[in-house]
Amino acid sequence: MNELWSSAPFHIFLGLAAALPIVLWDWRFALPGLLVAQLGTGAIFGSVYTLPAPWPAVHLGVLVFACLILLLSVLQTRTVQVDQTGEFSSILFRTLVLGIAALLVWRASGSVPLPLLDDSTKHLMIWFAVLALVTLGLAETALFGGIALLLWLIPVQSFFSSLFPSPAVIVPLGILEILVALSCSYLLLVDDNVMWPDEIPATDPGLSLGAQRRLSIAAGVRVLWYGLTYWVYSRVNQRQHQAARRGQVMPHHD
Amino acid sequence: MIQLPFPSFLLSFLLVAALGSFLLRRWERAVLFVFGSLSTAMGIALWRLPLDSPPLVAPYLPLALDLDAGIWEYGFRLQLRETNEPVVVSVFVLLGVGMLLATSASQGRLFPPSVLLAGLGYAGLALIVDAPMPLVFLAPVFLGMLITVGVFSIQVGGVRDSLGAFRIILPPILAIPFVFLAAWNLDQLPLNPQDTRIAGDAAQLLGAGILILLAPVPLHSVQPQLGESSPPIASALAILFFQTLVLYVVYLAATGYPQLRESSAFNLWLSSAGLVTLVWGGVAAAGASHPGRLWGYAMLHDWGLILLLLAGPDDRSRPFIVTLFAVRVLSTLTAATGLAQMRRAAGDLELDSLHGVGTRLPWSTTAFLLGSLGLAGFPLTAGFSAHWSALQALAEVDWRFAAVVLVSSGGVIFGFVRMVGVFFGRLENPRLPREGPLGIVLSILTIILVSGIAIAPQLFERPIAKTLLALD
Repeated sequence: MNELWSSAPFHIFLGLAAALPIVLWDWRFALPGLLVAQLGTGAIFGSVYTLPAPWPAVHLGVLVFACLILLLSVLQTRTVQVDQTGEFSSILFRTLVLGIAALLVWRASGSVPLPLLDDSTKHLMIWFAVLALVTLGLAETALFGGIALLLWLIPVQSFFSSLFPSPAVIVPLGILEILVALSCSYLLLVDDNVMWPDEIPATDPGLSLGAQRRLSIAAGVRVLWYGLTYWVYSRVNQRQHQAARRGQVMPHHD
Repeated sequence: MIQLPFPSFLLSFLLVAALGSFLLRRWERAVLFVFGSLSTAMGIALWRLPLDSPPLVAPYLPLALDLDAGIWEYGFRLQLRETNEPVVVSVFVLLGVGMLLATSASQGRLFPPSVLLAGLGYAGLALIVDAPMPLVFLAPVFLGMLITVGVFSIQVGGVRDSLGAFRIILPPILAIPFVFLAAWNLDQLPLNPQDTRIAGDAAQLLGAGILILLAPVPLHSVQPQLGESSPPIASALAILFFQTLVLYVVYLAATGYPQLRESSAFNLWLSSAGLVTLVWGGVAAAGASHPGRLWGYAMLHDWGLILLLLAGPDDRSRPFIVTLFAVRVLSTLTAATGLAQMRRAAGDLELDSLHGVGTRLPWSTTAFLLGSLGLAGFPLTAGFSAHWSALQALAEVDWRFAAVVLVSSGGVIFGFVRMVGVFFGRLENPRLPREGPLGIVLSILTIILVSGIAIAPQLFERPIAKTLLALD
């Protein structure tokens, strides 16, 4: 299996899996893309660079947790404005930028001093870092900013865990990943106005958040009460009508 | 008698304070006042007590507080020493003063617990004296963790624009691979002592990492962005906490790794980055039309000057850096106090709603202007003497540096002169409320403080001399 993990086609697959979400700019691809990148990087460093057994799994667990945190915020946003990028951004633009970046990585990676890595893995790690920087340059929301930072941290965590296989390095990096996801998911909620009351009536702009929440609960209860009473009323009314109709009909027959 | 090591007491206090302020968050002002006063008092007491003093015995309790004792957990040793004492004291005083200033203008109900939590982290980081890997290399990871927590204290004040808060996370995270690579290279040095390339690579990588941590242009946008969109006191605290610790890391790197200072590339990068940063701060301030953004650019200009001085030799530039940073803290917090009052009164900091604000909030507006002008070294402000000395020192090296600093300071001052015209012009919003009594008191206090330092800069001499002695 080591040959597969260290092979160039596998690295190209991982590179494409990480790049595709940026081309498509959609969180539905970006979060699985991150997981694929982490899974592949974990496999490479676990088998080829002999990173001790629990750490690749720990890295994957941390990233799954971070992605779930981000997903939770995405699902809570109402307008899901997560597909916005810069003013000039389009699929074509992003593909072009990534194409130029790929050329630069291919030409310039040789001079980047990443010790102990073979050329192919070095290219892959630098490619992840470049993808993260491109995403940071294009991102205008905390979601894609967070995805970019996680993409930056995937090679950082795996590579430096193999250089310094000590909990003093690996554990803080894992905590940092989770904190990045937490803060970005919080910022995503803040951006999307979920946390702010936007249903305050124009006639009463001074309505406080607490009052708004209480009012919305009261309004909900009131609607339920109205609905219930209307249902009871209509049932009673229907019976009375039927009874009256029968009563009207009966004497007529008599 | 239980012997309690001082770091345990310090961190437990902040943890309990954070927890308590969360539980009592409905009484925001009282919480800010109580914990702000306690933190300030603790910082001052810590500064006055000699480290080798006998254990402090708590009255009526079987508890003795040992200032000299440390704690050792997971390979990390936390201890108060002479070198980190000024940093720990700065964190406590900043935390306390920031919380006290926030009593007059709410920064959000969850601001006290989140800022106390951030303070706990920064104090903890400053207390680390020994770690499985030297602190310089682990610092970006820890700073990244702390700044992500700091994001909450910036955003809890009801800010919808999250870009500034997001950008503050970037520098430490981007710096991580550079410093770790430098650490690996330095580890290899004893194995190949003849290979000078390894030492050179290590110095360059460490230099690059530190440069990213210092966030010069183009990583600068967080200061103007936060100034524009976030609660001023919360943003000021987030920026100042981070910069205090970054300067401490630079100090540790410069003293622990002399090859860094010997690397001509690092000094060149630092002076170029500092110069570009201070020039951009001045140019952008001259054109800024938002008071918060203008304040951010003034901070950026001041930060550029500090970076420029960092490129100089340690023994000569350190007194200037320490003085400039102390004055920066004072000026920034003064400006933030005024700006927070203006934001509270007008609802936002858009220039349209601030026409004539000086007639309704004269003390707050004055505090904002005095504090911000101090960041540009304007005469009769707190920053003047420090900037003037720094200018003279730069002129001794190369007069062109001093000329560039002077011209870009002119840009910042021009921006504020334009602002004065708006603030003290015709009042366009007659419904703008007047400043509250607490706001007036705090603004006057900060004005007295910055004016006092401006008139008698020697008031700062003793604390700065003690800091320099500790860092020597």
